[in-house]
Amino acid sequence: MNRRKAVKKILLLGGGAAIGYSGIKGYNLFKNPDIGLLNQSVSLLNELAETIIPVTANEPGAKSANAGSFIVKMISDCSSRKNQNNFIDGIKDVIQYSMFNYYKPFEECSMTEKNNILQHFEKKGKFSTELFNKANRFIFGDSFFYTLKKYTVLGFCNSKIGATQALSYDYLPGKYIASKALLPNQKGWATF
Amino acid sequence: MGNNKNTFDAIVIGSGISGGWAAKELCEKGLKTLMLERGRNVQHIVDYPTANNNPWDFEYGLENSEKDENESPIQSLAYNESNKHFFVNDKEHPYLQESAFHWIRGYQVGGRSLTWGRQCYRLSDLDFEANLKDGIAVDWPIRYKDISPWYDYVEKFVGISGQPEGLSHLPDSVFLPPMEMNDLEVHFKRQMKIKFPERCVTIGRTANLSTALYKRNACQYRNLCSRGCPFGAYFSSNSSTIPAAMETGNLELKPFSIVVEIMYDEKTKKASGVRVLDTESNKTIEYYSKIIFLNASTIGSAYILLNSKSNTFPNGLGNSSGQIGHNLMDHHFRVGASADFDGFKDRYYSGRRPNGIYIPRFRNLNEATKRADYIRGFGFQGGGFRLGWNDIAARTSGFGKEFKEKLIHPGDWAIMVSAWGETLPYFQNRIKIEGDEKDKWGLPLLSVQFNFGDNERIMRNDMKESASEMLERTGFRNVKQFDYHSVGGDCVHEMGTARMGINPKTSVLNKWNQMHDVSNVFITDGSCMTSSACQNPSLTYMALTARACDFAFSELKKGNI
Repeated sequence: MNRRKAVKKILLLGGGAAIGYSGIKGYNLFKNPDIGLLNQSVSLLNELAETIIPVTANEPGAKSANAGSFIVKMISDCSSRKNQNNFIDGIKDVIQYSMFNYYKPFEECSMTEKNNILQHFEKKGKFSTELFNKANRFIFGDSFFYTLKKYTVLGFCNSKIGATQALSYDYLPGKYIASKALLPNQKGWATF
Repeated sequence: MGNNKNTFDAIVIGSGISGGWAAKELCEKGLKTLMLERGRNVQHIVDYPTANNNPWDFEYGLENSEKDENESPIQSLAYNESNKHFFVNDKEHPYLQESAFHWIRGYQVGGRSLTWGRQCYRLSDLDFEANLKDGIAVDWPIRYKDISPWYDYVEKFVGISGQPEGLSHLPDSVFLPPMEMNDLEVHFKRQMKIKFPERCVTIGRTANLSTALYKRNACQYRNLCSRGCPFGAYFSSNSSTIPAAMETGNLELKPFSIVVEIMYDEKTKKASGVRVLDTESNKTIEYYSKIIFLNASTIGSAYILLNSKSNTFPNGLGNSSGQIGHNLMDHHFRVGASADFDGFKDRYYSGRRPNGIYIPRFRNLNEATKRADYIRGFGFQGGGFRLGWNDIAARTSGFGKEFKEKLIHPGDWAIMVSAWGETLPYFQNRIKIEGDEKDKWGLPLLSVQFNFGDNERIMRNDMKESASEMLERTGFRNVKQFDYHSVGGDCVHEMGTARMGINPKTSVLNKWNQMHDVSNVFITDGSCMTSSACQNPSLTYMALTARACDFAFSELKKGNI
């Protein structure tokens, strides 16, 4: 085993343990959230959001809708302190995890690496049974991945780019057509 | 009596759905009418600041900020970013909860008629006779035949789209053309006809115009009603009754006017007028009139009565029965079932219909449908739809290209049916203003005590069970029951604090919504309700208001009041 790999393994174990703990460290749930770090994380959050909703051949992705800025606003203004801390701790964890495992910031990772990293955080954010998930959320708040995905989707689908270019948006329908044939590549309605 | 400029033929307290009707009717009969509203003015269209917004014009994706939720923990349960300006701030307008009760309020011209759910269903003799048959509370002093022509009368002006079904327990209204059902709803209706032939599935009856009416435009299917409609396509005081009253030249509208009390003249044994706190000048002003219509909402009206003390009525105006503030009701709801459907993959719809489907009450209608475990019943509101991005995101794990493809395309079909249940009148569910705490105007704080009873709890179980039974037997899969446990007030259907009745010893109002004790005061908001039925109640308030105005005017002409 070369030295670099050995160091990585040790760091990973330590990091893993710390990450594992951050989910059940009740005492830090209500600490003052690090809003400074949050505000500096727009580009990282745009990359994370783009990993959740990537640009595809015909439709824009979350980055082009600036989902990162929307997420920052939602965490700052619309989240409980508990969820703010969970989310900002999650940002820190992503930064660390990328460095430990890929020796570079998340933004510079390849698509595959980004997918691997987010898969790790998705798995970490939930228990295998829904009952545990509910209880866990009730006590410890929402996981980083849950919040990231929720606000990425909300920010993207409510944005002008998302609503009009990825979904179907009808500002003034004028009438209700109760039954019509689905067109090829029919997009879902942006508003209900 | 006071000076001329403060003297009117009639005073209407409150500008919500029933106050608007009182003003329109009285003005059209030629009475000089003063309408008092405790909140600010909201002019139709002009004061609907968010009505034309796109989703991206909002800062928080139509969610509420923490600041809003902290300042208004109750109101924020009912509002979102797009309509919060039509709800009060809880911090500014506190009340006391002896048990959990969510008092949702909109202090502005138009009141909650701006944000109401618009579903309109007539009551029937099943409802008007229920208390008598069950030996509950007191009997209604009216029957369906008394109110039926007045339902006709108001419906022609309100504009209610719906489908006639010929049910005796849910009489048809005067309808505008019904809105259409989508493919899944039609399928459900057909399956129900086979599996539950005695139950009806109909399109919701809603105060949205399916065709233009008077000066109001037809619905544009935006489904943004609670922001105020720039087309005037749903009924509100602002879009409909207040403009009609204004047109007569007989209406004076005074916002920022909190009615502190109704003044009682011990000599004439009538109300002489009202004492108002002008919240702009902080001055007290008195207004006088021959008749008073009290339409300040179920809880607001009871508050004003309890706060109107005189030698004759030391416990509140017209409260010789001791019933004012008691028998508070609200429908219990947020219980039902949802399910998925595998067919119609190639069908969709366009436009956003501000309406769903309705399953009228089918329990305790007759001997055949009688339940051993509870009395009264419930109706279901619901709808079929293809899952949208919000539901798809919540149901789909993972992320990336595959997730996005699912997210932006129409999801599978799903259905939801949710019940609205009758709540019995319990004397111990009440408001009072006996404490020492005061609001910022020095007025006593109102205190609420409210609990649902065993009948509601037992009914609730059947609401859930019968919902899932229907969905299972009509071919849906993944049927899931839900019960989100509403507390009193959540349904925003408060009723019953000044009930109608035959006997002045046990009720507050007679069969004309006239106070037994004070002949020139009429109360036609939700407080008059003797029982709650399970139908959305606003239509009944409107019909009772028009009827009471007609009676009051004829009594006035005869010199009886």
